[in-house]
Amino acid sequence: MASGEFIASISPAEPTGTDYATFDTIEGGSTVPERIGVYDFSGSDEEFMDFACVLLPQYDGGGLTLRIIWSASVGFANHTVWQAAIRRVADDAENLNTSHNYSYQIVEAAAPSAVGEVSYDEITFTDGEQMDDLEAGEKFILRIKRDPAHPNDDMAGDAELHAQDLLIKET
Amino acid sequence: MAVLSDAERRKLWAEFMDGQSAARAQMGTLTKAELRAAVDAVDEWVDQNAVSYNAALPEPARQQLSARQKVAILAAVVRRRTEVQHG
Repeated sequence: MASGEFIASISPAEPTGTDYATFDTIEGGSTVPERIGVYDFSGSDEEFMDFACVLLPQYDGGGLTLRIIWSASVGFANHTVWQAAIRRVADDAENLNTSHNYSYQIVEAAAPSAVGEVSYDEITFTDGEQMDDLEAGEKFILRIKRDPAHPNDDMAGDAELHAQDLLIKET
Repeated sequence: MAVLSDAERRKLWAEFMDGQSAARAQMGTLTKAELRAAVDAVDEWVDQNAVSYNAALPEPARQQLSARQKVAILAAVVRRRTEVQHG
């Protein structure tokens, strides 16, 4: 499959067992207001969200690019540090009852210039270790978190992940 | 009373951010560190002005009210002033 093609199915967000981002809605400004579902990632405490995914059989080994859309609840112009990691669930090999050491990739994302706007950012995974050696056709868990303790995560308040709008394409 | 511990100040800071986020009350370009500095400064100011506040209370309230009640009056007045001035 060519670079830039969408290459994974993504199931709805699944809160982690603990320390999960909380569901929230943004009320739109139309006369009949839109209601946009988001997950709030705290500015003070590390929070997570998981997504069950399948890498399509057409994957050609070029690495992955995760595209996220997010907004800020109270601030603008500062930065949020988003991280994402992959847990490969290989056939008859990965025991989900055992602990996995997630290897996070990172983007230091500038907040939109106004509350109410969204920002599009990307996190890239090179083929191999960064993807937990994921192969075409396999199930995987995509874990996304905000790293509020990161020295470059200086945006006050929640970062809102528009979780239904994730895209994964081949790099 | 001494100033709040670092852990208490952090908790207050985190709860304040959560509350502002829930209300979607904009804080502009203020960073987390700058907000935390504000929390620390307010706590310092309260500590430094506690004696002055107590002295401002007229008798017999100063003698009759408990420390907790005095704080409650201060909080209520500040809250009401905020509601009157900012809705």
